[in-house]
Amino acid sequence: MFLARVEKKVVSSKKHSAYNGRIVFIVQPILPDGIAIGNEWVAIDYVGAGIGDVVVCGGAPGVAKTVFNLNIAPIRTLIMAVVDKINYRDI
Amino acid sequence: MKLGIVIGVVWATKKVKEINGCRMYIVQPISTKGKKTDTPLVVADPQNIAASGDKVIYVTSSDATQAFESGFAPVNASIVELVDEIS
Amino acid sequence: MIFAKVIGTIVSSQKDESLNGKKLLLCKEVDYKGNPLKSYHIAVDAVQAGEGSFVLLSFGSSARMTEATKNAPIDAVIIAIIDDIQITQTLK
Repeated sequence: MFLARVEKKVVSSKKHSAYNGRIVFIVQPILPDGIAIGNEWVAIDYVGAGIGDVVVCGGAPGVAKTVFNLNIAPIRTLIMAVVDKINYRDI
Repeated sequence: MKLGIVIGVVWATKKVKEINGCRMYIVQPISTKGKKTDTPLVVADPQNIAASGDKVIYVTSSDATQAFESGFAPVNASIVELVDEIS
Repeated sequence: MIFAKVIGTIVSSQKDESLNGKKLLLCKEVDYKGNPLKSYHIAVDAVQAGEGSFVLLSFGSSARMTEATKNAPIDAVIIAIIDDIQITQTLK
């Protein structure tokens, strides 16, 4: 998984049925010190993140299927946790 | 499935129990002529068939878990064959 | 699977229920000699690793194939604490 900051929210009216009722965010991967790195990602939120939050994102084949209990889930990246604090010492 | 050569051994006593008793090696991907093709990677050896210096065939991704008898192991690469000769 | 060094912990109260009681550790990728590389990863701890541990990380759907992480929404797990790495061959 990787650290990211929630930047923007995506609104859409026509979507795949697996996306119905789900919140789609644009997230920017960051380093532990908050500096942005790499390109933005699209991620589905199901833990209750908001814009500006630092979150843990990730995903693998089959994860969304298990989490949402769906047969077909064309979803890759999920917001898995909202970060309160990072304790770290870089090497 | 890819061809590689075992260049090192990883010693770890504390492992998740799904991979207990399974050795871990560092494998250098090579071409049939023995030239390096990629950066080395860590590979599990579920059947304990390889040793240092051996040419092996390994699988990556979700197929790697299928190399275990249980089909349930958190690995990304597994040795499946020991190469004796390529003709 | 990659080598990594545990450099910190992530504190999070808002997360999936199946992640409750599991440690999320911040890891920095290293090469087999222990030299730090550039990328950071967050992984679930399945072997009681601590800060500073030299560990082996597993990714993707395989990461859910441990007792501790079965059916949890994760894609990286610490599967072993490394004691030593022996390099026996060097190729040109």
